Amino acid sequence: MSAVSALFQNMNPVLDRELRQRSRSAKSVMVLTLLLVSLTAVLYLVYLAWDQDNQFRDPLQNLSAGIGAIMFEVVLFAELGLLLLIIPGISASAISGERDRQTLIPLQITLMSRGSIFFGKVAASSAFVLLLLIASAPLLAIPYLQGGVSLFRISMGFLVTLVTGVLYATLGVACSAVFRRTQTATLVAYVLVVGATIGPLLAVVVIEIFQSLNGDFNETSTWPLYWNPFVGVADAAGELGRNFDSRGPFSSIKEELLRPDRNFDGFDDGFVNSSGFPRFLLSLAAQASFVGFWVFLALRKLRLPQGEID
Amino acid sequence: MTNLPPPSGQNGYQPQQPAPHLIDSPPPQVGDIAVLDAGVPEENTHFDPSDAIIQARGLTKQYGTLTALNQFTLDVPRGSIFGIIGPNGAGKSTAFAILATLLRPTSGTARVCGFDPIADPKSVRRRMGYMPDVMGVYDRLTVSEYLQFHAAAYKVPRSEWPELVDGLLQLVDLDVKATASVDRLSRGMKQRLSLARSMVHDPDLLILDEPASGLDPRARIEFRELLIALQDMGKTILISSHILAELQQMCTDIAVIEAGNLLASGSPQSILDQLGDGRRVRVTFADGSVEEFPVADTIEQAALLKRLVVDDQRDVVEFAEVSTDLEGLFLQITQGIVQ
Ligand SMILES: Nc1ncnc2c1ncn2[C@@H]1O[C@H](COP(=O)(O)OP(=O)(O)OP(=O)(O)O)[C@@H](O)[C@H]1O
Ligand SMILES: [Mg+2]
Repeated sequence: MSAVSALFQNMNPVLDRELRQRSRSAKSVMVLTLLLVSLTAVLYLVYLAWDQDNQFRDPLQNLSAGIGAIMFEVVLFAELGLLLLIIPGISASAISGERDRQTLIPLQITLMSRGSIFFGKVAASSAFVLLLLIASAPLLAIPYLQGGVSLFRISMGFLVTLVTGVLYATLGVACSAVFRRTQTATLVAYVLVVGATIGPLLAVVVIEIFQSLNGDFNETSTWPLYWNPFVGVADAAGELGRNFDSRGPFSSIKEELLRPDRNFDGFDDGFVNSSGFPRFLLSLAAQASFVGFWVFLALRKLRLPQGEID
Repeated sequence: MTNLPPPSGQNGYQPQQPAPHLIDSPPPQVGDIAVLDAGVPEENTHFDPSDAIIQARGLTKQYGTLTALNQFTLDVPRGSIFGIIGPNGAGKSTAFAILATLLRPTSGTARVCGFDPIADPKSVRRRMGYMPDVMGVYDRLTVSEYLQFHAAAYKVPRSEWPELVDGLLQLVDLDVKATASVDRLSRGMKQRLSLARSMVHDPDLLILDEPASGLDPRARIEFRELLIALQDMGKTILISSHILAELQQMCTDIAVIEAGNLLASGSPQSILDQLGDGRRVRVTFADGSVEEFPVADTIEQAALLKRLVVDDQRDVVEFAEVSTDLEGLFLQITQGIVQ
């Protein structure tokens, strides 16, 4: 009890205030509703498509395929995609918005360090990401009840999605500190999200072309993919060795790109890469290094006194 | 006779304010008013600069080729209400931002509340409250939550918040608005709230950048009384304005700044006194003609009256000193330089 109240006493003031304000904002309810409606629609569409596909199928094969696994992966995939769209919108105004409202200087002049101001903003955005994920968690229960996917895998997918969301919320907050105007910060945050998604794929293609030009026909190295936000979740939520038509998007990514030895046609259900390190952790670490660079820029920008004040 | 009259405390203010110390650095290009070349020696009989709560030495801020602040040197005595007057773009906000640990000067040093605002901003912030010239507010936050938030940011223990917030709201006369939304306050109320905000950590020094701009006349008078009350509570106040009348009435010290240069500083009266050869007498004669005569002091003024009436035998119906207030002074010593 006293530990809880001590925690409450020492709650980051910025986080405290943001949560207060957000709880009074209709915008958060709207975003939440929109996310839930979209995910429900996705879930329903998967079900319909599956039904259509399997009308003329052998019922035995149907049983083994496991609609639950596909539903889970598609919903989580859609959720991650939607989160990546939502997060810059809610986080990239965190600090520039205060600048616009002329409330940043009065905050910076207090005894709060720039680190705790930044942390408070990240925590507030992350709390919203967590709220979105928890609110949509019941949608993941449906695939679970359909069978074909373990609770462990669902939890892993959920957790890695959460961490990915927190990383991108941090990125958005960092952008809002680095760029003076909210519009610029938001635009850059979206460019970075799209860049992180597409960039690694392009990089792999470029490497592949480069290799084949050099007459090197070995398996192409896929390490740039670790920076792709979908890849970490794919490793955690996807499953190797699945039947082609019972693979969800994450299992496909994992199968095509993350197999420890892509010439080996066996089963591997683990998260471990060839050197023994969990690949989703590698992916999160790679993304964290990218985000960390922006955090560095942001904290530098928040230092006072400064040569010029915004 | 000493070579300089001590600042006369006509407004009932007698304490250890700095006599008009004149700034040597900017060249005396202030029209024909000898504010700068009066050749006043260092006379710190009343004021010891080491007692100053703010000591600025040669602060200079350059933005590219523009010199926003040029060799700004200032001592603000503890317990004073120190006003800085200057036209738009003079460098007031720039000087305040440096003193308030926000802006890094191009050169020069400062000590605020005994600490270096550049090297040790935290120590300054603990003791100084700053009110910027623009008042930002949050939406979806009540007035008392707004103050609580800043109390938390200043690490005031949570148990002290209720009393602190009540006290501050009463002080700035906003207690009826405690549960109102901050963004619904009128401008004057926001300004008072901003002042309350700058005091949540009970600072010794308040740096207020144009706190009274946009207030109606009554609110302005109330604001002035509030600041005097704060001075009575032992706080030092550094305030900027281009509305001179209000500074003249409450400030114990005034500095005039233009285009980054400090033109004059001292008590309001001493600044007026420096205008000795700017003093004029307007004489109206029986035939309706009006003439103005420059006079250096009251002795010369009496001699003028005697000469006109006794020696020249003229019919004087009115003989009055043209009142020189700071407004006039301001217009005389500033030239409307825009950078
Ligand atoms: N970030 C900046 N970049 C370039 N020039 C600046 C910057 N900030 C201020 N200036 C310039 O510095 C000069 C002094 O500005 P400052 O805001 O200190 O004036 P001020 O005395 O506060 O004026 P006002 O009465 O209008 O508030 C102005 O010429 C202004 O244009
Ligand atoms: Mg200003």
